[in-house]
Formats: sequence, structure tokens, C-alpha cells
Amino acid sequence: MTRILIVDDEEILRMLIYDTLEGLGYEVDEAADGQEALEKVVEHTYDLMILDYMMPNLTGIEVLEQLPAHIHFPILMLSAKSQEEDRQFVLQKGAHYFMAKPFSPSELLQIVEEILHA
Amino acid sequence: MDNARYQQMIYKRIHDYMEKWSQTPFVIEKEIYAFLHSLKGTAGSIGLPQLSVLASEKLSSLDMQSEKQWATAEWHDYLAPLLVHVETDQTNHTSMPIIEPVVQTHQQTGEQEFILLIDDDIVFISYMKKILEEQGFSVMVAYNGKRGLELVYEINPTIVFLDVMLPDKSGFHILRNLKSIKKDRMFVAIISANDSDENKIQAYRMGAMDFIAKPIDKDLLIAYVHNRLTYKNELERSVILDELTQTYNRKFMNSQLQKLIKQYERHAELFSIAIVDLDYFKKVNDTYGHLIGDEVLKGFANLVMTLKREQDIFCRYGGEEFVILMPKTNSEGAYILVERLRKAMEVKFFTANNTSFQVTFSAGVAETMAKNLHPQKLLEQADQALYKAKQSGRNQTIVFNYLAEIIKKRVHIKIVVIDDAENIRELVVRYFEKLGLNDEFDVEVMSFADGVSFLQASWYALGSKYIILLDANMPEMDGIEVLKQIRQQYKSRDVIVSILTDREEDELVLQALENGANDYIIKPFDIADVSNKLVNLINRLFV
Repeated sequence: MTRILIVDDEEILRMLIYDTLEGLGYEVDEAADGQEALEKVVEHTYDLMILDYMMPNLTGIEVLEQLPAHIHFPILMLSAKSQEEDRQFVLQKGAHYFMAKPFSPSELLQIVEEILHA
Repeated sequence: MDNARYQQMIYKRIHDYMEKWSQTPFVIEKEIYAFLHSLKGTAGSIGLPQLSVLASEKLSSLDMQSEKQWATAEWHDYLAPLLVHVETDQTNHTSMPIIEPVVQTHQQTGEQEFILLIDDDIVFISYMKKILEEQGFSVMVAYNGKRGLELVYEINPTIVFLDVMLPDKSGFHILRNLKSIKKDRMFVAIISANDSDENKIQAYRMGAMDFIAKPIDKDLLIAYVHNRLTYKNELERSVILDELTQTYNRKFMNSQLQKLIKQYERHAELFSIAIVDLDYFKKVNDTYGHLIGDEVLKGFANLVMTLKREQDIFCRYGGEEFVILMPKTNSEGAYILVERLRKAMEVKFFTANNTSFQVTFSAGVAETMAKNLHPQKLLEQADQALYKAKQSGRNQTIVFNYLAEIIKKRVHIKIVVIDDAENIRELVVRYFEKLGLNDEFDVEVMSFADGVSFLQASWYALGSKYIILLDANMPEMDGIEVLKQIRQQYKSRDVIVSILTDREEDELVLQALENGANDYIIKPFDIADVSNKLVNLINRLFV
């Protein structure tokens, strides 16, 4: 079973992503902040992490920086900062994919499918 | 995907925030930032794109780290368009009330109104400042005349309270200076502990509007300020408003249009314009009479006023024709907005003689382009689109399409990109195929990875026009060689060639032009610029 971890402080968005992916048979796990995400990636293995950039306490970038070395699943970063330089910055910091907010559920689905079947 | 549940949640969230904030004396700017940021990111994903756009607009002038304190009236005013939008939008989904309608008292013109206090009595001045700020006014203070004059220039206050006894210059001296500045509609009120007739006479003679004696009563001060601001607003509005509909009048529209065009020229800030015309309005007048016709105009105007964004400028152009200027909005955004208005109008009922009836409108939208930078030209294009909307059955919005106008002249245009770089080929194909989707266009896009396969393909047909984007540096056969072959074999009038070069290679560009290239484009390029360039070429060479 494909396991996906969603990390976003925004509850509504987490639910939306959860509902979108769950409905297609993915196993979806949630973390409401960076700290929780860092704990979860140690305890479980995932096939994909969807990570929000702008979060209180730990930002998405800080999560990337603190990820344990053995983690190698793909990371899709979400951000409302959608300039090309933001994208470049995120990718440079170790995310593998980038998606600008707001996105539609079908756009999300498309990129998730692409990543998982890459 | 059922979005209603998420939408309810986000509305509730907004509601909770507003309630929480209303109970505190002020909100820190970075909290507002965080709130809007999250709204921007979420709303768009759950089927509320307009809300996302509004949040994004509001976000753009805030600082994410600022500790600045926003008084209730300030953030309330600032977020007003967003809240009004939420309120009107929400009625379509749920009956939960969000927030009391926001009444904009002292900000009707959309510009911040300042009150300036010039006085050396610190105790008195802080007392006044406190009272006025509690009322939600923005107050600036100057402790001497020199600073006072500077501030008049800097902040353009609406009301100046001026003490006649100042340490550096006498207040009367300042008053003379103020009058020579001749700021439009700036009220100068003299405050003085000396309320002798002599003093008052001098103040009025020198141009003060009012004379207020110290000590000043709190309620009197508040009443005075409200009175003057209301007067100022009415005065300003009366010269720029249409009497019947209370929308801006044509004269004001023209001045704003000029302003937007200047901004476009200086800062490349594009904007769109829409001409909106009520459908079969004469029939309304004939059937129900002119009084009811006037009611329809007013009802329509009210509807637009509540649904438009804060920055949109809505004017009555004449009769049943209205114009909406939409700053920083491209034609797509303008289309979305006008369609929202149109759908709201479509379901609105008017009543007369115990019967109810509906009125729709048609609209034409045009976006600024370097080629139509003249108010008349833009209006004409929006008008052409409006005409098309009327022709196609009314009750619809049509966007003026510049390329379409060219290609309407039955020219078949084929765009060919020859480049060994796959990303360039994809970019060009994707961009121009999108144009082809519009049935107005007759554009076909082809791509080739090298010159040889292009020359061998049977790409040419008589009667079509070609634009070839040709990479100069390719393995096997370079662009110049391909260009020579094209020019040898085909009618040059039907084929435009634009050379793509990696950087400013003067030698190469020269060679290309000598061999019959019409134009060159430096990589990396912005595809929209390329499109504009091609439009110019098509215009010059094919039409």
C-alpha cells in the first residue's frame, strides 16, 4: 500500500488532501506541524511526503534540513510563494517537487500520480 | 469533489478570527499576515478562487514580520472588501452570518484621511490625539510650525488643527503659509486659548475655516471632525458621481483611464476595461416607464458596487451603459469578475405594477496592450467586443481578442519551431496551441528537432502564411543554412523567419538578417514577449 504523509498546519487543506488521496486508495497520514512530521518519518516509512512551506514553529525548509539522513522518499513542497525563485530555493533545499498554492484537488492528484509512477 | 464542507469550515474560521480580533484593542500586523497567507493558500483549493485572490491582494502590502499594531477600525477597513465578499458569496452556500456589514465612515474615497495637530502643548496634543484615534482616525502630530508645514506636504492632511501660539513661528504665520500651499479641500481650524473676537477675526481673515476655543470638549471635537469629513466627502463625490446611480461619472472615468494608461507606460501595470450595457433596456422603459427604468439602473449599480473589488472603478458611461476599470487585472481576471456580476444580475428580480421582471446585461472586455494605448482605442475595442456579445444573443461577456482581430481576416497562420532544445519546442507549441483552441483562430503549430527533418517534411502549402522560429545553433545543419534553403525554395512573402540565438551574437544576427531573416529573438525569452513580437510581424507583413 502506498503511504503518503501530509504536513500542513492548515487543517482544512490537510482534510482536502486527505479526502482527495484517501478516495483513491492511498494510505494517508497527517502531521499538523514540522515537529510531528519529524517524529513520524522516524517511526514509519512513506512513499511520499507532502510538505507545506509556511508553518509556525518549524518551516517546511527547517523540516527538510532536519530530516534524518536515511530518509529518501520523494518530497513535494507546497507554497503560496510561487515565484520562480521560491521554487528554485525550495528545490535547492532538498525538496524534489514543488507545487504552488492554491491548487485544485485534480492538480494535486496529477502531480502525486506523476511522482509515484516516476 | 464536494467543496461545501471545506467552504463552511473556512467561513467559520474567518468568522472566529474576526470575533476574536474584535475583542482585543489591536491586532499585530504579522497576525493579519498569517491569517491572509493561510486564506490565500487554502481558499483557492476548495473552490473559492476569488477569495484567494482577494487575500493575496491584501497580503501584498503587509509585512510578515511587522509588529505594528492595527486598531480595530484600521484592520476592519483594510479587510472590508474581503469580508463583504465573504458575506455576499456565502449567502449562496449557507445562511450562517459572518459579520456585520462594514460601514466605511471616513474612508469613502479609499484614501487614508489624516488629521494633523500642530501645537506645542504636549499634554493637550496627546489628549486630542487619543480621542481622535479612538474614533479610528489617523492622527499626526507636530510640536512646532516648521515640522507642521513639512507634514502638510508629506501627508496631505484633511484637517489641520493649528495653535496660534507656537514657539518658532506664530500660528498665523503658518496659516499664511498653508494658504499659499493651496491644498485642495484642506480644512484649517485654529485652536486657541485666546478666544477674543480680535483673534477670531484675524483667523478668519487669514483663511481659517473654523475657530475652536481651548479647552476643547471631547464630544465637540468628535462632532466637528465628523462634520468636516462628511462635508469633504460629499463635496468630492458630488463632482465625480453620477447623480442617479451614485457611480462615478464619465468625466471621472476618463481621468482615471488616463491615469491607468500612464501607470501602464511607466510601470507596465496592465489593466482591463469592460463596457457593460443592459439588454433591452428601452423595452423596460417603454413597458414600465422611466421611473422604473431608473430603479433598474440603480439596482444594477448597487449590485455591481457590492460585488466588485475595492480597486475596480465603476462608472456610468451614459444611458444604460457602464464602464468598469480594473487595475492590475488581465483580461482573464476581468472576464471572471464581469461574469460574476452577470450571473448575479441574471437572477435578480425587479418589480413594477405588481409584476416582477429580470434584466440582463452584455459586456465587452479589453485588456491594455502596447498597441492600443489610447483611451479611445481601448474603449473602442471593448465596444467591439460588446457588439459581438449583443450579436451573439446578449446576456454574455466577450473579451476583445487582439490576435483574433488580425487573424479574422482569414489568414491561416502556421507557426513552426525548429530547435534541438526540447523544452523550447514544448514551450512554443504549448503556448501557441492554446491560442489555436479559440475558434476565432486559425493557428497551427509544428515543431522540428533539426533543420534536415524540417526541410524534408512537406510543411509548405500555398495559401498559408508561416512564421518560423529557427534556432541558430543546431548540430548537423545550423540555422543559417536552413534559412538559406528556405529563402531559396519558398516565396519569402509567405514565410517569416525569426532566428533564435543564445545570446547577443552580433555576427550571427547580422548573418541571419543578410540571409533573409525577418527578426531575431534572444534566448532565454519570455514567451509572451515573443507572442507580442509575432503579432507585430504578422500585422506588418501579412495583413
